[in-house]
Amino acid sequence: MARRLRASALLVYTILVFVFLFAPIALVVLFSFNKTASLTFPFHGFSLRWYRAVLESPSYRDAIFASLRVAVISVVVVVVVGTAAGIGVTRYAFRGSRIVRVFLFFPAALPGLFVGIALLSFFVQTQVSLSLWTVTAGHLIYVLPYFFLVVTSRLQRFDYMLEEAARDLGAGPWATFRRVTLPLIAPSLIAGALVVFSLSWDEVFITFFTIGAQNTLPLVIYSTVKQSVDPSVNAISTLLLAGSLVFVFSVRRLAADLQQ
Amino acid sequence: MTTTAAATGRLQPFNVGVARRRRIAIALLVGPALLVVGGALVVPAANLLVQSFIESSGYGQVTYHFTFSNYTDVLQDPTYRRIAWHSFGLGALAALICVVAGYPAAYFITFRLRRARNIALFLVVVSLFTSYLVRLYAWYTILGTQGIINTGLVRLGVVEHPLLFLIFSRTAVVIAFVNVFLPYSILMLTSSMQNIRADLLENARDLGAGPVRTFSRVVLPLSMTGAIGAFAYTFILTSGDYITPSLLGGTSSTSLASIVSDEFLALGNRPSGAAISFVMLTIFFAVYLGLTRLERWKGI
Amino acid sequence: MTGDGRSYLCVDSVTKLFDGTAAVQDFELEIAAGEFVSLLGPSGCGKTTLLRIVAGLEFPDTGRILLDGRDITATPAHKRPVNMVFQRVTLFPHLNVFDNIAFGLRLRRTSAAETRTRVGDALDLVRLPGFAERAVRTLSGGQAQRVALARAIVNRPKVLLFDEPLSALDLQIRRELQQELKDIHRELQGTFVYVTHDQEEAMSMSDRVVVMRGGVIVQVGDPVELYRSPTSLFVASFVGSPNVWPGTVAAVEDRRVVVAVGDRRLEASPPTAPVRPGDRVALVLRSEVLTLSDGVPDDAAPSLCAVEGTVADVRFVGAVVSYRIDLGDRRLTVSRSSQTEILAEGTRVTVAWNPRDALLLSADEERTP
Repeated sequence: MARRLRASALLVYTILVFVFLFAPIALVVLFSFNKTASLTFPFHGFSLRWYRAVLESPSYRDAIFASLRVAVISVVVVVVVGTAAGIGVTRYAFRGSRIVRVFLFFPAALPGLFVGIALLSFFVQTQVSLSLWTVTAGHLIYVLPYFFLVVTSRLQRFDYMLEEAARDLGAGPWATFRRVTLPLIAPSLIAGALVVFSLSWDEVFITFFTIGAQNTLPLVIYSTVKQSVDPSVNAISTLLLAGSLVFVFSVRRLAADLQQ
Repeated sequence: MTTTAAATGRLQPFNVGVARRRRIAIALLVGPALLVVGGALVVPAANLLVQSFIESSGYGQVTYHFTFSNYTDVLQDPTYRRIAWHSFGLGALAALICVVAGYPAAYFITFRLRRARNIALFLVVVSLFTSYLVRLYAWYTILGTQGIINTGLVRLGVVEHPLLFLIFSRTAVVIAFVNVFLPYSILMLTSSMQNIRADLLENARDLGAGPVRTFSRVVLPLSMTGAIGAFAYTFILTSGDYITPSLLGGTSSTSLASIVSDEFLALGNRPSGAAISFVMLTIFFAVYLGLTRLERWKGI
Repeated sequence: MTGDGRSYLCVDSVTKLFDGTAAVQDFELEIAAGEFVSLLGPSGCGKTTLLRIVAGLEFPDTGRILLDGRDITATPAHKRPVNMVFQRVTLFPHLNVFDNIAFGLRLRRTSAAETRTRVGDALDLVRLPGFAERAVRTLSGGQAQRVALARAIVNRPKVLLFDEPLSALDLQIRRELQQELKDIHRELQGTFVYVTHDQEEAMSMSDRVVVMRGGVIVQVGDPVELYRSPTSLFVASFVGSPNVWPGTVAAVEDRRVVVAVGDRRLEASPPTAPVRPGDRVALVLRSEVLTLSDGVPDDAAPSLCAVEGTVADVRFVGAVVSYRIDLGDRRLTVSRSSQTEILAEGTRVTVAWNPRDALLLSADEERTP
């Protein structure tokens, strides 16, 4: 039957699409466990030597910590700043609140190149020396819109009458936030924080321009690949991958928990 | 009714206090975020705009002297124009492939899968969040001279020497672009197809429309928003990419974005780089506007 | 007009503007301790705004709020000894019934033992014993509002505010809760301020009803007073659904006023405000004060308080039967007990009334249907 044939053709095609999407990554993960330095088949057997190499190399270790530091600071700052802004624009219908929203969303529409060079020339001119702090500044701009999007879409559905009820029952502004608003929006804040972490953990376009002497993980991979083929890049790539995938699976768990 | 004290502007002190407390609350809540975007983006971007209108004296130095020459140089130089066509062409090609290749997969996920739909979409999201750089590196190892394809071909005796055109070529760049941006296309297309009710397809089929007609008359027009969104998104991000061409494109594939990057990092000519980046932004904006107009026009 | 000892809650010339329009204007109201007062009016009349001002959720542009001799105008909601039951369910979805009710007590650092007792007592009071551990989302609409009531009562507020708490519920549950609310009021001897647009609700529960329109008070009085002597057509049509005939004053006598309605001349009791012949007025005949008799007397002299007509429609609604009588030029709704004989459509009838029950009001142009 023509229809069945078409359906199975579509199925095969879709499977091939997924193979195309995942096979390259699978190869990287596979060869990170390879015994020899070869990047190609045949596979010579499992070993953890490249992971050991990564962890024994000070530059890789430093890069992992640098990436963690930037991501954690970004998460903390963006969660505080973005949650406050989300509450501000959804709780109060003040004049200009729409403009504020657009203003906080629009950096997401800019290519990283533009943000990167704008920051770089600004830092050069104001004689701010490039460091992980300048990288963090770039990451904040990059991740804030995504977090703001997640948190406002939750707060849009938040019933602010609950805050009034809490106030009526004797809760001051802080107690209202801590006992009512925060517990109710916490799952979205965690999901948003995980998005922020994974975006920052992977960021390379803005980091490329704002980086100082201390490299982040993606930049170490970039510069290593530019210079030579080093099998330990497979291992470090797998670590990078694992770091950002923790996010998707946590969010999925979170969503499952919420549905119960 | 306008004779009340409030209407004549004589508010009681506590009420003025209430209004002020509200303003302070709004400022405290929204202010920090505005400061972040203002300080880390608006001010630097404004500074960049100023830079694009002053003279470079080379090696990272600038002279504060107003000039249009950074723009005129970019717009008149045939080399720039060639490279611009080259990178926008590459971006457009990658975007087109992403949309076209994404359609059947999105269609399958939306209309043919039921229980597995969420799993399929989850896998798409997973691939979206797998590191960009790791995927570039993966293609580097696959297509490289020491890579899987070449060593395989040599070992099998198909070729004597590794095929050099695989890596450091436009082909490699486009393959990587499609690999990175296809998930976005699939997601945007499925989300726009979700609005097409399955019974609409059944109706079309009942009325005797073949699969091609059903697709072109029902699915395509109703999912146009997703297609245009996916194309614009992929086009802008790939044309503005300098990492992929620099890793996989070799010298054959210099992009406008790489030139901007070089002007800043290697040549120290920030005004020129700034001017090119603003020309690029203008083009992106124009393409985006044009595509959304096209969609509205099609919708009528 | 400030507190005179009798007044427990005093709303003193309060005005609140929203975007330049007054939601509440120069509002004066004094409520005694233990009183059950309803604010009644159509939506947008400012009743909810007034309630929110008393709760501290809004602040007036002018005027003062005094509670138990203290000026609380500038006191924010969380510092006022006043609690509210909202129109929508505002129970905290992440807390169970017990924690919802204990919310206010915990903020005041009440001991665990006392919290337990007081929450238990509150649950008993709202007839929900044993519900403490229930999740909020498992409650029905009526149960949720009972919990909301318990959550407010448990704090022993000086005034309890209600913002149409029953409006989202089914008629039967609404009636049940109205009765319970009245019982609870009697039990607690508390001061209740109740906002509603349902006249029956206001009339059946409260000691005093404040009828509002456009941010101002139209009339204040106990339910009987409002029913018997409304001062305006607005109040008359808001409490009950009367027959209203516009007319002109034809003659004013000592004990009665004759009104010309079309070519009929009808008798009514003199209104509180004096009228003169030629004044445009509205004759209000409540459907339940009219008596219906089968047949038309052929020889009777034309009466000033009776009309003749034909039964055009019969609606049986349980305890009462509602008739629509066609008078030729106009119509009349008459209701009478269903214990009496039920007349068939097309029956010729005479509708009569006691002139005392025929109200005369000045023709109010903004009549609410």
